[in-house]
Amino acid sequence: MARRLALGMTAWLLLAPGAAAQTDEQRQQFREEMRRIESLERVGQLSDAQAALDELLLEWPAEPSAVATAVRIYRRQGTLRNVLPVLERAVKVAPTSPALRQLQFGVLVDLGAKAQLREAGEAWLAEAPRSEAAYREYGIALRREGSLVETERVLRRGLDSVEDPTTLASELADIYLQQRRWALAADLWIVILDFSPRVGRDVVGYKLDTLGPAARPAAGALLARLADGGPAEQRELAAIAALYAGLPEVARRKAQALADELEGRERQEFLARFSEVATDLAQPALLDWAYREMLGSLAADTSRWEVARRIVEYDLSVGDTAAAEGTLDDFVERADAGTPTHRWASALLIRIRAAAGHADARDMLEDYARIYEDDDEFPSLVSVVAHASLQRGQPEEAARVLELVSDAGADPTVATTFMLTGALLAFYGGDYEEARLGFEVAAARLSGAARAEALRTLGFLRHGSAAELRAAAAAHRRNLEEGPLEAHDELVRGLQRATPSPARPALLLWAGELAIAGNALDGAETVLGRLGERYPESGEAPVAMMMLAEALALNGRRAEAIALLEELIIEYPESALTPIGRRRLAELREEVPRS
Amino acid sequence: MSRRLALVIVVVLASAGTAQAQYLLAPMDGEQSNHLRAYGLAYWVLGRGERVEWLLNYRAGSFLLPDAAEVRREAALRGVSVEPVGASRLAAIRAEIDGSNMEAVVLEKAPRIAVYTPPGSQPWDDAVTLALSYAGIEYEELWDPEVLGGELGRYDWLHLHHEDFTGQYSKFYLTYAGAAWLQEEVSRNRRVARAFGLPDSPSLKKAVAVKIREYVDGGGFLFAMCTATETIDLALAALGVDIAASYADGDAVEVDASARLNWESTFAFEGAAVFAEPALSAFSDIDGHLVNTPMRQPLGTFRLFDFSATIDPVATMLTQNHERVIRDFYGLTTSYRRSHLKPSVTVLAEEPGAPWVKYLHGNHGDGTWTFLGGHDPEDPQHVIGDPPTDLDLYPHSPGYRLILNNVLFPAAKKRHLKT
Repeated sequence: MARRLALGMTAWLLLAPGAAAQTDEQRQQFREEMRRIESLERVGQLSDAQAALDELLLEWPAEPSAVATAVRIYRRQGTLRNVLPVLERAVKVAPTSPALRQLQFGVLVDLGAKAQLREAGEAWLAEAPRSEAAYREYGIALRREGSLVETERVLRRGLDSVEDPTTLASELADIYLQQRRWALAADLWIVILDFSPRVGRDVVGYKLDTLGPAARPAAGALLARLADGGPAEQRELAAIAALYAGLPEVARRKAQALADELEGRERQEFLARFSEVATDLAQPALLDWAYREMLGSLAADTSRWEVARRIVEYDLSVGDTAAAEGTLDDFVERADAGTPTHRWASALLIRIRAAAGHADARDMLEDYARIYEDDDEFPSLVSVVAHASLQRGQPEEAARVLELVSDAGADPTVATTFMLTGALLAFYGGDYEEARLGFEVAAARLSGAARAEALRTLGFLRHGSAAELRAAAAAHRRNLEEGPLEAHDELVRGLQRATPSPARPALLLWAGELAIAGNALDGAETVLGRLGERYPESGEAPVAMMMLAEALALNGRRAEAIALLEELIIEYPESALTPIGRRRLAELREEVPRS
Repeated sequence: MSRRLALVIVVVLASAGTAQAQYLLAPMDGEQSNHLRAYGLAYWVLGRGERVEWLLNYRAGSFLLPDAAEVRREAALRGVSVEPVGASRLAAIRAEIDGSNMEAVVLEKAPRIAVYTPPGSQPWDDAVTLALSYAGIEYEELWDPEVLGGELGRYDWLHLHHEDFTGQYSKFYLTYAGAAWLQEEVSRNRRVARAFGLPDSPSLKKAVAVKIREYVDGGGFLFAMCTATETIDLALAALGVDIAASYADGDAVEVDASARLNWESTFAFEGAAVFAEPALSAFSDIDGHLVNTPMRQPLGTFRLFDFSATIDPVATMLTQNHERVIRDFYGLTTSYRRSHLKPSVTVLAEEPGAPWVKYLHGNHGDGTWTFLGGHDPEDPQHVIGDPPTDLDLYPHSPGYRLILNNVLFPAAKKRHLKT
């Protein structure tokens, strides 16, 4: 679109000398008459507009705006063919005007006038054999007509005739890309690169960026044609093409070689461009590499910390906490204590260590408290470290960590963890009333999986008997300390000795979940089957069926899973799980693609 | 959705608690919770050897099924809404049908279904197998060796989808030259052609097209979509003419190929011109949309015609729907130019004001054929490599209902099947 606009501007400029021969007064009259004609057109008086335009064209036969209006008016009247003499006269007066030729070609294509289009196209080429616009516009018209072989032929002729092949090669390459003829497209890109490495890098790089999935084969074809040596721009394009081609190792090798040779600003700009493509193509390892390269040559200023921060973020986003820890350690060591960057790195390091279960998280927290006495983030860090202790089944350690905050109730995050810690300690210690109160308050403030877990335990505490709660508390702790299978065994053993209460279906469901998590399918079948048999009216019964069906399906027992899902749909039509069961049934029967 | 689900639940619960009614009505209007699977339920009942009544134009083409515990169970498993119908309600329904443009058509036999598709295709490759799989309707697959071996006679209904019967591999040969799936297709076609003593893929596909025409002549039901519709007629019109590009048969398209085509024995089209350009991914000027060419036309909507259910039950069956205006969808062949339709063709759906139509039907010999343009009604822009359509997301798809109308149509008692 922008190119066409530019072409139109060029046409005006080309016609400018002719126009200059007209006096300013005549030009003003022309403009006024055009405005009158356009207003007639707007109100639908097309025959009046056409009559006025015919008269105006006698004096201004090659004025593009007048000719374009004529084309529009004739088209609206359904008499497009009648505009051909106007166009012929116009191109006779200004045979090399791209705007007039473009109008003429457009009309001929719309009329299906194949022979006339070719006649006009060849005439223009004869008038302007070295004009890039002539080959391009003629080619575009042929392409619109659907004559791709001829389009190719005309653009190839142009490539042999014009001085700068960039536009025509790019146009022809686009046709080959549309046809998925990658090798031919890549050949043309090489032509552009040979003519101007910098333009080639930018044009081809932009093209790869906008090709979508087709970029992969196209980049592969380009890569096969790019020699190892050559100018830096060509080598940069090779590294980027390797990225698009899905060859990250090759991309890294080529980028490394180039980065080793480049210096200063050129090197930084290359690495920045490379990292942008790596970001677009979701290649965190290469992005990480590019950032580390950039980091190595940056001074220890704000931009350096900014790059380092992005490295850490990317390491964390791909789950590489070890790499993130390494960078952060380096960060903490180099940065001055008390600065914002040091504080940010220290806090993040504490969170990572806590999540990974490192015992030194508490020591780090104490160091942090000494340096950043009144830091706003400190209570939240305390909560994270305490919560990590809870996750490891160590509420006593969590309670010790929480003592680092003078007023645990002042900060909502710490208060919730404090409450949860107290509730768990009470639960494990057999003070069920205290535990119930603690979980009630904590559950209201928690979210996600932690909230679901707290609500489940709260359900046990509200409805379970003391013997059941002893079994549940022991299983809860074993799950955190040793794993789900051991917890399942503990729970089943404990429940065998306890009198069933209204909490029993929920406890059996949890036992089944633990068994599945511990890969003990037999145990899950036993316990969930018992739930269905003894408590068919409970809300947990359809959940147990769904859970077991999923586990059976995952373990290759498809027929049993199907039977169970059918039972779920028939027996529990009102359950919110039934539509999900129907979907899983369709998947198992291969009636729908697997989601 | 939740309202519809609630309806199914209510209906099933209500019916479970009441005495068994005589019939179950599967409504096909806005009250149906899964339109597509309702066809599968009707087919399943037919498969048990029981009769189904298709109530044309009654609540958008509802099904009247026998009331039995197994039918209720199957409806619940499929998520299909059914309503118990006792004697008095049935009398009221029949009175309404008698007094309106409606008709009750008896379906008495589950048609034996064959889908023409290369070995190893996934159900998701083709809108019809997608619909059949989703609705739970069984079908068998066959391809060139089975067709040429005379096995079509074993089936009541045959479906063709995106096969290119001009033998030019959908004219993807140049654009997808390096793609493994295309190389596999080329090699498979060449192998089969050799096995039957035929020189190339275009000759193979012409031989298959002739067999399919003979199948319809003999009383078979043909339903075709997408490229198959256009190219089977091109193949039949070009029995003595080379319309295939050189990559397919070793020599170029005949210079005056279009002028030499013989349209006498084609199903739907006449007077079309073939596109000889090998790189142009289109076959002829039959298609109005030409999706993969610079002449591509934008998608609009198409409108189903209303027919008299008593005078024209076949056309009525094929156009049963709860929506009459449907969003259009592309295929390598999307639509059919009116100017190339034979006078005997019945147009079932058109885009008003456009020079093309969408959905066609006609008789040929003792059989019938139906053509529906486009590839996948719920993937309007379909391009190669798109993820498969998940019909669980479109249980009310009006486009897919058209496909399933065709599947059940051969089950109708013979007196209804000729217009």
